[in-house]
Amino acid sequence: MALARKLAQLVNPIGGKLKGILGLGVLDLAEQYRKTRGWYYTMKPMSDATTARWLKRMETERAKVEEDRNEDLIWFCDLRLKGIPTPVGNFRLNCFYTLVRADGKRDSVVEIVTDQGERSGRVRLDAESFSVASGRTGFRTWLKNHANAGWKGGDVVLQELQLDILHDSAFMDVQEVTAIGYDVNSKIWFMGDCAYAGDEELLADEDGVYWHNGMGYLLAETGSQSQPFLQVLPLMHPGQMLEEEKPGAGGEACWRLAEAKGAKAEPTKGALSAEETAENALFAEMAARLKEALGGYDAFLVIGAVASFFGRPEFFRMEKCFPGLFLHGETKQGKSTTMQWAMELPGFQQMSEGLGLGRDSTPVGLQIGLEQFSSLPFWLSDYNAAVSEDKQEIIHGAFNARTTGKYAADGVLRKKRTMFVIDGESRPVKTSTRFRYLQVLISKRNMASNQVWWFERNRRFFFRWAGGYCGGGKSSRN
Amino acid sequence: MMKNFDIMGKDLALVERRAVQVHGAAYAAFLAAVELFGGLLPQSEAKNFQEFVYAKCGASEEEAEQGVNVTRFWMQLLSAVRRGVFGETAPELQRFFKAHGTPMDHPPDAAAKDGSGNYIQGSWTSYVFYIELHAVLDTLKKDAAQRRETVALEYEDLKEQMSRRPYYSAKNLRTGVNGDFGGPKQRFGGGKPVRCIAIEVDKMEELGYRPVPDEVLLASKVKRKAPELPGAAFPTDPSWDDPRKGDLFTLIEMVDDTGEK
Repeated sequence: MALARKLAQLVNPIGGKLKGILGLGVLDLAEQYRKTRGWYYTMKPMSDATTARWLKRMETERAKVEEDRNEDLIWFCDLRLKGIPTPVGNFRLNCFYTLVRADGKRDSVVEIVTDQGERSGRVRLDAESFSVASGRTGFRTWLKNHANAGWKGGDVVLQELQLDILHDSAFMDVQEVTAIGYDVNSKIWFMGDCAYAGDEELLADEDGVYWHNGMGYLLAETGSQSQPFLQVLPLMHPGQMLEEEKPGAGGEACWRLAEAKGAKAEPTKGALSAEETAENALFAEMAARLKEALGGYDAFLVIGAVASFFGRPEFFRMEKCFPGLFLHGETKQGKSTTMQWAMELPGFQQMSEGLGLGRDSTPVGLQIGLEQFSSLPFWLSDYNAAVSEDKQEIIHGAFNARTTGKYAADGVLRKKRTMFVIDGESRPVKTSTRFRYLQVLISKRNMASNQVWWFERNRRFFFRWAGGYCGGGKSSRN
Repeated sequence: MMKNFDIMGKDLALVERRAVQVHGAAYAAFLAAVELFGGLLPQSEAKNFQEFVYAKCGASEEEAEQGVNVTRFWMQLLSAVRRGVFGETAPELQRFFKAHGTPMDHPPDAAAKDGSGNYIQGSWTSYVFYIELHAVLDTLKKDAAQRRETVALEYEDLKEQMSRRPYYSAKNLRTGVNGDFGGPKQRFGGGKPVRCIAIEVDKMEELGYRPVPDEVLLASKVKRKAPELPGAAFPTDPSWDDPRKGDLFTLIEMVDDTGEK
């Protein structure tokens, strides 16, 4: 548009430096540039004769003495020699970064802005879509699927656009993370709303990218192969701090979250901050009350079993296996309720049940769960004697992350990154499966006192504990 | 966490590793959490918790042993015998099982004598229990199918697993004429002699001979009179349950053919 405006000014009757010069076609060229507004365009070359004519005109003007020389005419001839602007696409692409996918392929993350001002938001432009202008996986198909945009150029022009995009993406690689929890490569814990790298709590930028040691990481919106996450994402509520409420009328100790105002006050050496004191008190209260609810030290083991997932990377490296948790007992005894509370510890908030083991799930679904969550518990509900053998095999093999020997069309076998926690009325018949899980019998007969009110009131704060275990924001503890 | 796990692993070095791993991960992680969150556990509580976990770990190992296929086989067998799957009478049962006893002065490793020079635990019969495994497995499978259950092992696997147990008699190791499985032959149900498996009942823990200390045996023989009735302690009840005899003895005593020879 700037060019079109400048060209129009050159033939302005008042002061235009090219007004009155015949045969230039300045306004025609201005109109052609105006039509490219919001478009990608290419310069259509002129014929040899026309090029020679404009070259001669430019040289003639240059040959004049300085006082008579019209510099604007020389500039115009130079512009004319570049060719005729010809629109090829009614859009512009804004490039943000290159996303290195979990399978190693590289997508450009771009935004399509059409000539009408519509914006696509951030979309992925994969190599296949960029390979040809037409065809089922071609650029035109990709464009139409993401915006009201079209492309009328050929492959050669498309290659130039690709080079432009690659230029804009230099030094902007972002690694895609398709599993929630511990990432083996970066050694970062990715949770639903923040990440932990050692003691450091990481927050995502406006693009959702976590930056650490010069490398970007993007938590994918779905698991690998575009499968939606089968469990809610664990939330750590960064920027909020735990406070202990004064006991209410019933004298029950309760907690709440409050916005953290500014930088945390450094506690005196050897002393605990107010938040740490509140977290310690919550953990102690929770452990003691679960012991009452379950009627013994099994409660500590339930807490420990869920806590141990945060130590799974090291445990698995040493022992080549990792046990799960199996809460069993008669119906209506509190198995699911206990598991709901336990799942709050790693931040899986307000879950009511896990993936059902009936007909609404498949063996592949179980495998997907093991792949999507890394060193975080994946909950299976309602185990019973009717669970299919295929599913039992997966429940069995998760202990040592046994790989499947099945054909995969893309050559990528599903990874087993975690272990199950299961509730059910019966335990696996196969002894070797049963003893890969810590078994805890849940029975109301064991219950010392009813703690449901307290747990339902405070369960949503248990996640504070997980951040400490990951190491995030708890450097003073570590 | 791994530091706590290592300590438990050393403490329970003789317990099966799988049981230690399964219980140790949770135990170690809880202790690590306690350290992280200000050490809420008093020393006594920590000690009690440790004892609880170690005991649970040991019980788990025992339960796992019960679930081992060969152990499950014996449990299934005895359950089927109780339900009359192999018949109700001795001749019916002897189509599948036989037992031959050898009188001994005293039970194994119970040679202590009283002041009169008698063996405290008295005489004992050492049994060899013969089982026609093919026929037994066929019958068990039929029964299991009706109950929608399965028999975990086939003949060869079961024999292989039994052969690792101390009760597997050396008689079973004899080689046949052609170099194949020889083993003992017995007539079951009066038919021709067939190959079978011989079990030395004295070496069969739990289900067979269960060693008990002398004082425990003597105590079991004395039944106290009900306090509401007059008089002193009465003599040993004729329905006395010998604590040295495991569950298999019920079957053994029904198919005992010692007197027949």
